[in-house]
Amino acid sequence: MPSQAYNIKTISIVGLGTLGSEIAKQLARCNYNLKLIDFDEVESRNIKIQALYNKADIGKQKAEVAEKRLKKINKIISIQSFPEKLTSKNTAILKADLVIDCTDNLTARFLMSDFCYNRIPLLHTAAFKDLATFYLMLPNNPCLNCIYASNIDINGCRQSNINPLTAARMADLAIKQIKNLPHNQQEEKLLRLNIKNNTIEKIKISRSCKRCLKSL
Amino acid sequence: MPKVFIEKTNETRKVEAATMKEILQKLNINAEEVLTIKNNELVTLETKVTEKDSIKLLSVISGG
Repeated sequence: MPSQAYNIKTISIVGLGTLGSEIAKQLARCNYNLKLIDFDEVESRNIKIQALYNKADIGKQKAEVAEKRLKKINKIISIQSFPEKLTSKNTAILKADLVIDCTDNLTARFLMSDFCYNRIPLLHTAAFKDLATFYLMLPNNPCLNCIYASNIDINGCRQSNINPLTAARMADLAIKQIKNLPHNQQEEKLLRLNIKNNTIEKIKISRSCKRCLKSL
Repeated sequence: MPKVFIEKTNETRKVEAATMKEILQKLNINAEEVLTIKNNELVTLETKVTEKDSIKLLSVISGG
């Protein structure tokens, strides 16, 4: 496949939990315009591990609180908040130069994968305790249906907290990948991070779903 | 018998099986809960395995 040039100015972040809030904070500092999508409210259990919220925010919409906080970090970028649940009817809100998946469920992930497929890059992230998954789905890369067998949710963040160090490492990786996007060699690899063991495994992904096989 | 690393329990077991599907059946693991990896490549359940292969079952994680 020919390499493609990307000009990333505006990024949609879906999910503003432990991963999403950390990644949003770093992207704001790097001058990217942001679209923040999350229907959840701030809960007391979020305060300790999610970068953008404090006690006074409990009960407020995460997307709106995050917008306010990030505007204090960087006044010159455009930040829009969407306190909405992503469904098949509102995927148009994802429209940006890049979408970052920081949700806690595969149903939303498949919606993003379908929206971005062969159009715009999708950065898929997921974490559980010290483990994390990271995959850059470029327009010609295998989609998330080639990775996950179904949309059952095994261990969303509601069941167990994500190590904030995992979120910091993921934010660092995300920034590096985005900055490197214009020169990205379309490596079809899923990264598996283990923060406890300080390891990163690279796993090759092949087209295996019906849609991706058809496009070969 | 291929050696299989199971991430969830952090253990390696020898399993008498010819395919990924058989491995999961013998270990009583739900296919939707793991990524099936052979020699650092994500493969389908129908993929054949031998004792020379490095097999890993990585847990599907979905938190954010």
